[in-house]
Amino acid sequence: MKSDVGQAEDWPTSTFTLNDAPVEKNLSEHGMVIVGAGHAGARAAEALRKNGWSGKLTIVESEDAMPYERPPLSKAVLSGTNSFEKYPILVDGFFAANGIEHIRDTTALSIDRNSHLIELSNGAELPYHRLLLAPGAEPRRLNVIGSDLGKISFLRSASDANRLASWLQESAKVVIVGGGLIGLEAAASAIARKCDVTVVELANRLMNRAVPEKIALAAKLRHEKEGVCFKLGCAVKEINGVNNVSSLRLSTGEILECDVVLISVGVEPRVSLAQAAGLDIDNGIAVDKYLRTSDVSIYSAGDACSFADEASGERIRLECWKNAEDQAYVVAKNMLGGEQIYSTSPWMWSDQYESTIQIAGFPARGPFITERVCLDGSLLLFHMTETGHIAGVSGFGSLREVGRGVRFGQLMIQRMLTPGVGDLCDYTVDLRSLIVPAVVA
Amino acid sequence: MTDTATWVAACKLNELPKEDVKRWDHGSKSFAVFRTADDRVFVTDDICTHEYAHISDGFVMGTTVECPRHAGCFDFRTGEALNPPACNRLKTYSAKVENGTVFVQIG
Repeated sequence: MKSDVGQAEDWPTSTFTLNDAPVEKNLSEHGMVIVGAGHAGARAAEALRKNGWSGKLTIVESEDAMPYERPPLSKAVLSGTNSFEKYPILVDGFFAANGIEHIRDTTALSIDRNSHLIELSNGAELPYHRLLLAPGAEPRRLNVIGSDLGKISFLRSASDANRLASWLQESAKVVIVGGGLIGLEAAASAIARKCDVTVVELANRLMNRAVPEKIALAAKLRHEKEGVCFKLGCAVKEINGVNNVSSLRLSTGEILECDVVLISVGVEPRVSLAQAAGLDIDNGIAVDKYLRTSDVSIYSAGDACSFADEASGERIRLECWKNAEDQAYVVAKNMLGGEQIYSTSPWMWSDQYESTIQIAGFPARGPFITERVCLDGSLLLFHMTETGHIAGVSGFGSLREVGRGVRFGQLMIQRMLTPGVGDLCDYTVDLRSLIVPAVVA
Repeated sequence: MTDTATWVAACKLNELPKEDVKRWDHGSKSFAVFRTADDRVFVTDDICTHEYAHISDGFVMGTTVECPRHAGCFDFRTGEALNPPACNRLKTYSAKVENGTVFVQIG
């Protein structure tokens, strides 16, 4: 067991204020416990301190690393530009300086809800007053013969990224199974390392779940220009090799020779700990609008947390940076007795080559698409409802045009504006001018 | 600030829309030149302190700029990082407007 813990007298308690959160001090010796030091867990630890919790705070993590940002793993880390240590979530020494015990390389094995105790893999028992489950998600496996051969990897953790990066030698034949965001970012990184890249995707289009079709098509063309080969509508039937992988057999009968395989076919929420403790599970660890599970002392946030979508009522999970970030702040307030309702404003990005994809809001709820082609060729799509409101905005192209366009789109969504279609599709009309009237009002 | 620092002309004020930002390259460096809605001018480094992106491609609202890559926000008057993933301050420079030209003090 490794532990990074600071002395209580180190923390700047005088700067903590108990603003809107009535903290129940009599239970404070039990402390707050967070399972998972990924984005949601680490940020929630920070937010608990910032919101006035000066009692015991422990964060348990199965990986043996300080909390790091995951988005760079498929980009800067895989392409060899930077190591993952360059992307910490918290400033150096944060846990020690704030009296947070960070128990790493240790797994939470079970929760005794009656006694408010967690059993850890190091043999210790940890009492909790409030518990946050932020276990994240794990890569979905490919159940085919040969998937346990060498030089086949997932891409989820820093150690996955480092291992995979070491295999991406020049001219290596790399097959990426799964044409989602992670698979395509990895494809761009492998191209940067001069590998020979093929992407195999079960659906007939790329990024089927997260990205509007037109944006996905533009991205596909960009990848093809770099030499990426796509096998769409194909399943992997078998993986062959002696020790390491040497070929894949596809559902079309085609044999793809390869040196390295990345399996990126999505993730599954880690629910086993919550499930064994008898908490409600429904497409993830089920929470209410306050991010509270079916046990009032236990909360959940991040990739594993399933919440009711306000519009459809369906239980959804959002596996992205923004969701983990936003939920962490809300859950910290509520663990301290607050009643903040979590409301989603989805936003995600993906960097592939010098191009960026950004998506905000709910494009699928806006069937009427208005397209703006910017002067530099960047594509912006405004996904509009029958009433002319913007449900979502998406873009592919330069950071400048896509970043700004999507941001203006987000403002239109928030302010429930109904901009004219003619103005939206005309690149000579400044998008800022379309939100100004609401600012004045 | 030193007496020896030189004021260099960056751009004409009327080339810079209100509540917006413009990139200015000088020597081997890029600077971001901001103009507020009430006509004040501020200058910062142009490269985001989080990951490589030009802040001048970002989104200006009031006195903040949001990086176009990962939406880290900065107060461009002070350079202060306002929200994750940005956590390090952007370097700022003194700026002034004379006869319709924006000058930047480079030490």
